[in-house]
Amino acid sequence: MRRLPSTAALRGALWITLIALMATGIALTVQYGQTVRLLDTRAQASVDDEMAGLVERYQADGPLAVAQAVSRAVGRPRVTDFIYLMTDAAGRPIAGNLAAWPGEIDRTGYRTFDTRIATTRGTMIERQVAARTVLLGDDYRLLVGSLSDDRRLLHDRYVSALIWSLLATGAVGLLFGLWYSRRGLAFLDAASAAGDRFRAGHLDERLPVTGRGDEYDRLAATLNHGFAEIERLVDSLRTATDALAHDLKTPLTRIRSRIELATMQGDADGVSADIRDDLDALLRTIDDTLRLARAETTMASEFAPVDLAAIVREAGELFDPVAEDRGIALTVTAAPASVNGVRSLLGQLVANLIDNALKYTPAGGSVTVSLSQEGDGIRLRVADTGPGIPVDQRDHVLTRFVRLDTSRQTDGSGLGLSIAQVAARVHGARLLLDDNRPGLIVTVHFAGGNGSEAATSL
Amino acid sequence: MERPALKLLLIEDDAQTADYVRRGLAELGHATDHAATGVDGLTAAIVGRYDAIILDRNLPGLDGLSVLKSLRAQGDRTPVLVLSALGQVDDRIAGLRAGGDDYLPKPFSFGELMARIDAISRRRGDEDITEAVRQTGSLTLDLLARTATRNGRRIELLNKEYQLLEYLTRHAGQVVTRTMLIEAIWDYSFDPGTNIVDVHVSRLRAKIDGDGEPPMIRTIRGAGYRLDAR
Repeated sequence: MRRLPSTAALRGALWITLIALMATGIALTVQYGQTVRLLDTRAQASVDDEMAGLVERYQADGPLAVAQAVSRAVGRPRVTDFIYLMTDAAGRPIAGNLAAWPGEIDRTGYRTFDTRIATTRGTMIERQVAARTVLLGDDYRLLVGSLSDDRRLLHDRYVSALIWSLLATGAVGLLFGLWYSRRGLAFLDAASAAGDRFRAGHLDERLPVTGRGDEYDRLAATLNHGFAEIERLVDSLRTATDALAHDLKTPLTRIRSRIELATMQGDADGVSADIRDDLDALLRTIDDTLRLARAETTMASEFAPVDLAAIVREAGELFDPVAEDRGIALTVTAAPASVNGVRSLLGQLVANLIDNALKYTPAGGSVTVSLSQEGDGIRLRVADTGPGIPVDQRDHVLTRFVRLDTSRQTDGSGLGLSIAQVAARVHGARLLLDDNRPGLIVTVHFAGGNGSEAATSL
Repeated sequence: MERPALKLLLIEDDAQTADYVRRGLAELGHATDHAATGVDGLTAAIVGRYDAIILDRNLPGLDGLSVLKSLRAQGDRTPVLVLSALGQVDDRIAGLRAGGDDYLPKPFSFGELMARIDAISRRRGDEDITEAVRQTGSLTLDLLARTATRNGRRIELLNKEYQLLEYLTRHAGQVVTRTMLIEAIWDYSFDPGTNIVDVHVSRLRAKIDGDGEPPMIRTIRGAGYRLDAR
């Protein structure tokens, strides 16, 4: 599809052209000026040279000798373009090739002027002349000049060169501008077409990247990144919705069949406790889902300084009896550290990580929690000696509603790590999963923050 | 254990929720008046005398927090439990700051609701009494020294264990839910998962129940715990 360039593109082209025109004009004018100055200097030098010879003669041999020299020079077949005129004080010609004193000259010195020259041969010519005039004593005036038609010629050339250059530059500039804006237009067409297809549901649609590495490529890369992010979010939402539906339907189905069974058997009392447990699980799932959604919309404006070390220590105390009951050694070390954030969310982050570690660590194992300053950031590390998570499943486990070991029915909605990850993200922290050989290490890096070196252990 | 019948006001615009809560409360012997809008609720709260008010935050017209603020501005100290489906982190804080005595997010279980109504309606009146020693059956709590003895036997308690026991004795005879304990003792506004409260309570049990002594803390299935004076 071809369209006319938009006004913006056309404006861009015109600007480019205008700048090119100005550059050309300035370059030509400067060059012209320089050349004129050079020619002038040369012309003046030769006129002055000739004049100096005549003045010398006047000083040595008097006015008659000058008149003779002038007459001689004029009488010679044309070897130079010099113009001479020697007159008496009243302006009557004595010698020279000018019939009359030019009206433009009314004082001594060097001048350039256009004049009609009446030659001694009786012809009148319109020429440009550069001439010097001197007084020889009180009785004579002497004018020596040269025809400087070069200069006029140069001026004419300059004007025509300027016109042609400007025309050529204008044409080239406009063409280039149009081509350039067409390139932008083509990109916009491609972008909006891709955007339309993306909106129509082709989430794998991407903008073409030419590989030229120009700003269009950069823009395309940025937009493609956005598209990829949207695709990822939509995918994860789909997965999450499917998983949520499954997690909600399973207990609901159980409840339904229990009630049906109880009705058939005429025994309604025996099932209510089971049903209540299932409903509690349902409520917990819904609660966690809401919590996750709430965590994701956390704003930085809600942030306040939070004593992260206290949170870690309190969580340690909270989980200590649980660990002991399960025969797991729970060690908590917390260096003083505080971050800007939401206290409840950070508490949840820490609690979820410890809870998750305890959940998957067998009896006799250990869970080590440490909070420390690292570089200019703060590092929270929760390491367990459980089965760990295979490298290829680490991204997967952070997706919502995923429990790797589906056969093992642990309580909870399976959202623990997801909530932890979201809590880390809204605090500008990175959550990384690592191998503890054996076991899992979850590390949360908070950028910035503050604290001191002194470590207290629990 | 017999609870005295309470006179309650429910301000809730959703008819089904209101009906369910009223029937549940009636089942437990409490009388409940119902108002469906903020204005009706505020009028009823000012005119009538209630042991506690259950107030939904999202109401048509005058919203829940405004009702609460108006009520408090008039010097009415009736305990108020705020219900909400709003999902903001600081909801609880906003609810309590507006003058609410407790805050319960939807969806909630009836057991949770009842336990919290019980807790706030009993709290009334004994608030100003400065206790130094609290006697609950054979259990004695020295609130100043933060120590506990039962039948003259000193019970060694960790800080959180003491706080747990103090909370349970303060609400002796009432059902206290796990969530209430998590909020009161650990100041968490979320469920830290696992059977964490159960573990802490069972440790406490092991410490306070000596040989031959009747167990004081009972687990109420589907609801929470109740400490009885024994």
